Amino acid sequence: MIIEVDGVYKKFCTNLKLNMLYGLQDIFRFEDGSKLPPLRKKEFWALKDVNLSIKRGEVVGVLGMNGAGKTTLIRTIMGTFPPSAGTIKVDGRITTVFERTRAFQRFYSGIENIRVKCALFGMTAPEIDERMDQILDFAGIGRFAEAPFGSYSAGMRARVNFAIAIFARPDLLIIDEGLAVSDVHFRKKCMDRLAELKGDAGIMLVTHNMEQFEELATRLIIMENGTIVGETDDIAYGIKQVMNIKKETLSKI
Amino acid sequence: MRVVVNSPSGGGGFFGFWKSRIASVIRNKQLIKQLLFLSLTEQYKKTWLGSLWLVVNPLLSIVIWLIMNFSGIYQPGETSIPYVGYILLSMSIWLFFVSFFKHIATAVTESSRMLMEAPFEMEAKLVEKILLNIINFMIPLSINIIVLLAMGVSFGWSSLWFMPALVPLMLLGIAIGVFFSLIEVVFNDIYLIVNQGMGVLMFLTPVVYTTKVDSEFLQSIIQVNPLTYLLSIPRDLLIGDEIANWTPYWISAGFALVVFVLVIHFFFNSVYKIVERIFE
Repeated sequence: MIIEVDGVYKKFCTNLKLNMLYGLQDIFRFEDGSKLPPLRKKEFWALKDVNLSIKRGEVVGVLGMNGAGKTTLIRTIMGTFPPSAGTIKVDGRITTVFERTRAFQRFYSGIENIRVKCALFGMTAPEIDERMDQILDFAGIGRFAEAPFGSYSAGMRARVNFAIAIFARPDLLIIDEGLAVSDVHFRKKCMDRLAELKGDAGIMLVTHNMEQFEELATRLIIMENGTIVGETDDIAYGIKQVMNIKKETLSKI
Repeated sequence: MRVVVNSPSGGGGFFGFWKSRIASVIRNKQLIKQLLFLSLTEQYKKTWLGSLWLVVNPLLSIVIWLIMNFSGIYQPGETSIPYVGYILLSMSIWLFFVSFFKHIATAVTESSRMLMEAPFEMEAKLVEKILLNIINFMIPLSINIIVLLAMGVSFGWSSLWFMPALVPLMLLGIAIGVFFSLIEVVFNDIYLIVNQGMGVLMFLTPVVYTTKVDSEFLQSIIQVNPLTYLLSIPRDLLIGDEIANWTPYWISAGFALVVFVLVIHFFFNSVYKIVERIFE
């Protein structure tokens, strides 16, 4: 098993000032995490009793409307957001591809940025040296490798970002709308590469593009209001369920 | 492969805690190297002089203090070495201390970009900031030592104890910075006040004047201020001044060590509770 999410809850606060106040209270409060903390004023559960496991070879598609808790779940698995209750066990290296990335430095070259981001994913210097050519080749940035990253187009940035996440040899690759800005050729190249990767790693895929699920996913989970409301290995059935939820929501508008 | 468990509970005991911190630093050594490279070069990336600014900045402060000295603005009291040398040395040590606070206090907020992209361990950011500060200190210190030699100041064997004697001041600076890195996220007002207060604290510590200053008010404060001893003893060791009483230094060093250990424990037990609040 690469990840095991066990009874995870995550709460957030909708009010900026109260959020700061709660933060101040929390840093001086010592809890052992055995009890579910109560919701305070203006707090809400972004994740509620989420249980999930992913093993090598699986491509888990996460479906749900905006605000269902998909990105919160991803960020909690990554360790960006610590769970308010519950446990997440991660066995191996996680790499991520988000639609928009903030980790790159615009005054530094593509190569310099690749070095930083690879290190961020836990790669050692020899590993980075060994895979640099593969990353540059896959990203296809050619003569721009030495150019400042700020001069790259959105597509080039996305390609570099994706190439790093793939060639960092992850145990779990998380893609959250990471292919949204890529052109059709690069998307095809990525899908082929992901199909190869899934033999060695687990993949968690969040997208509103149903074709990507149909092509890659081995399991779908459906999220609504911070909870997993459905889970299936029948990809076509899962997609149909989500389309029904979308139709229901649209009919209420 | 390392198994990471994210949960609200801590644990591991005192030695387990420090073992985890050290293991994290070793695991992240490539990332620390990359972050340090960025920090050292980023601020001067768009300048013509580039990293030469690391040398130009301390040279400019030497010129400023020379002008202030000859214009008679400061009446520091009797110093055993030329006043400009004294002030340059004192200011470098003071900035060494204050920079730990200033750089580390923003470490959690600055980590937001990386936290959004990867499972980022905060130890990497703290160690990067500490190393950055040490490098930023060593460059002006080396220049100041050359200036002191040019002024005829000689260095003896006691000078070799200068760096080890600075360790408690460094630990205290790190501790204050680490503590306020949490506060800065949720109560920025306090951080801003303390940031301003550091300027006041400099004048309540014998930095621009000596411990023999005439003012009774200042004397009463500097005697109970641990920074007096943590700053003046290393300085005296470097320039070969006689140290009459070591006791206040050792008490202050013990205080700094205890504060450092407590704050680091507090930080790593608390940072996960507030880290998400930097994304607003």
